[in-house]
Amino acid sequence: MMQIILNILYTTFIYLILSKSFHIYYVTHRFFNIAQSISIILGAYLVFLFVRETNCPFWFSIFSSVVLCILIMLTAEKIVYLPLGNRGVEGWRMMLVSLGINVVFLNVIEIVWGSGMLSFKSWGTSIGVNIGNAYLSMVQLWSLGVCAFLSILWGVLENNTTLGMKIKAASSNHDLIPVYGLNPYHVSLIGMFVATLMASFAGIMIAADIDIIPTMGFDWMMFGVVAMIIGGMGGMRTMVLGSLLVAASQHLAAYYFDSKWMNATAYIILVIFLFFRPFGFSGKKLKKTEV
Amino acid sequence: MEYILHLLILICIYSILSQSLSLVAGYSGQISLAHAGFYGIGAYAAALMAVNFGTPAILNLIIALLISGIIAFIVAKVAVKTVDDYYVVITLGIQVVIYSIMNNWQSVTNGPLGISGIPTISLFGVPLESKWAFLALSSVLTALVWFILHNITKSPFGRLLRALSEDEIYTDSLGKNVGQAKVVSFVISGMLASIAGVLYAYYISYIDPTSFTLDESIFILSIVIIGGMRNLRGVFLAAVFLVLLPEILRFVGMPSSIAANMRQIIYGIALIIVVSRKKKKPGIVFKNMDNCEDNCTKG
Repeated sequence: MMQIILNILYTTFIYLILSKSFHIYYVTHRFFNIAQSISIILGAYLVFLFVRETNCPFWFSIFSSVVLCILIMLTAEKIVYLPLGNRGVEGWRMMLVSLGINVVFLNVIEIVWGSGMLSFKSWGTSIGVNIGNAYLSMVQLWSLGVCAFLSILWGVLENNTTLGMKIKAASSNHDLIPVYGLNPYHVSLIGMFVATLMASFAGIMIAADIDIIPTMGFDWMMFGVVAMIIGGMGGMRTMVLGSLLVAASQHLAAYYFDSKWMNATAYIILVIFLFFRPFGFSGKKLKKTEV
Repeated sequence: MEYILHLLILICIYSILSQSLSLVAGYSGQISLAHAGFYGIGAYAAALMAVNFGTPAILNLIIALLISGIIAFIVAKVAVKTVDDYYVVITLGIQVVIYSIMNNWQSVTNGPLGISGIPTISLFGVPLESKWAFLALSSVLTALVWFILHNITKSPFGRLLRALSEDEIYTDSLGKNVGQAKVVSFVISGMLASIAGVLYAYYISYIDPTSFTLDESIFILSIVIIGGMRNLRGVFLAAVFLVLLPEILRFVGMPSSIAANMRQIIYGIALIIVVSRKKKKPGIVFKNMDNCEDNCTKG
């Protein structure tokens, strides 16, 4: 049982970063950006490119991959999203555009690196750290540390800087962005920057643990989205609760039934929540309800 | 010739799928990513009945319609509580759940191995063994679905759907039952999609979960968007275009190793371009027909 608890803890932190990443993008752009799944896998594939194909040092590869990933997403932002946002295109249409971008990038990645599993790991398999007769690998420990650092860092920035507080306030009402004297263009770019940074780091951590396949980005991103919706678009605490519920239900389903039901479990939880508690744990109302 | 007939049958199947999705996505304004799930439910219902019980095709079709209708009703009751991008996410989730059931419930669906040995379809004791006969049946069913959808969209119920997709709150304030209209349109759409599933199962004689994935839902949605979301004729022509696109790529001389990816890239780019256009209800390939149909149905 201890092993399940550790697995739940690890998965909760990954989901937390992914859901926070998705949430930051959502509140600064007001649409679900499905192409964020590309940030998750692109970071991992770029690390593979630097480590395996150009023999760069590992830490330099991570840094370069995240920077490159941000630049690529910045290009998509400037060419596609910002012009559409300026035209006042509705959220559902922006979401469909992001779906199209996701399809294009995913297939380009498959053409370049193939659809099989790849690994940038140069280290051997180790037992890891023993915690109460259960084990957490060093990669998982590092991932927990990075996730905790990123969450705390964003929490500090959000609550202790003028810009962070303004963005936080504006996220509850998008029309307040110009009222606060903020440039909507800059807010969008900051949102994209932070969201891509978190998503690409999460992708690299996942790949370091379980290797890379092109389709994993979408799956992990959707689990983050489910955690975000269940959390209810509130603060960090409700998002932690959402992530914990999704991670716990998936691991318990795998333990009591079969691991093949893990994906379905997350979505069944989502459906149940949207039916009985459509505003999630936070209860914060959005425009997304029935008339 | 056999290959041309094969393509024509596929066009019929995708025409049914995309036109039925257009009722939900275009007319009632609910972008659903669960359509491949209902397509799969139809296919699995027919295949399981035919293989396990040897029941006639007409009965299997009715059972497929009933099962998909019941599941669509349950799904719609849940999904109707959300709008816009939340609606897309919840239908996406339902698509994943349906796919997981097809892929993992091995004692019933045979899991990833799928169901093989689906017998040739017979109508009134006459087996439709040739591709010509199957094409005739597919064409009749496609025309029937088109006729049903045409009549629904021209009816007062169709006008209600258009109204709610334009302004849900205003439509509700007129005393119209918006929630019920959404549920009914979703159920009809899911049931019609299952017809395509039944045709597919009998045509290929083998089904497995990979034919009913999220990618398939995205493909069907791409057809609807490219054709014009409230334009049955445009959607049909978009289905023709997108089903034939791989053949066009083959003539261009695209290497087979990347042909499937290039096809997806073209779908993705088409989706971006069409949805990015200024028109509120997108549609690029058959723009004029879109306008005509909208004008024709006013009043």
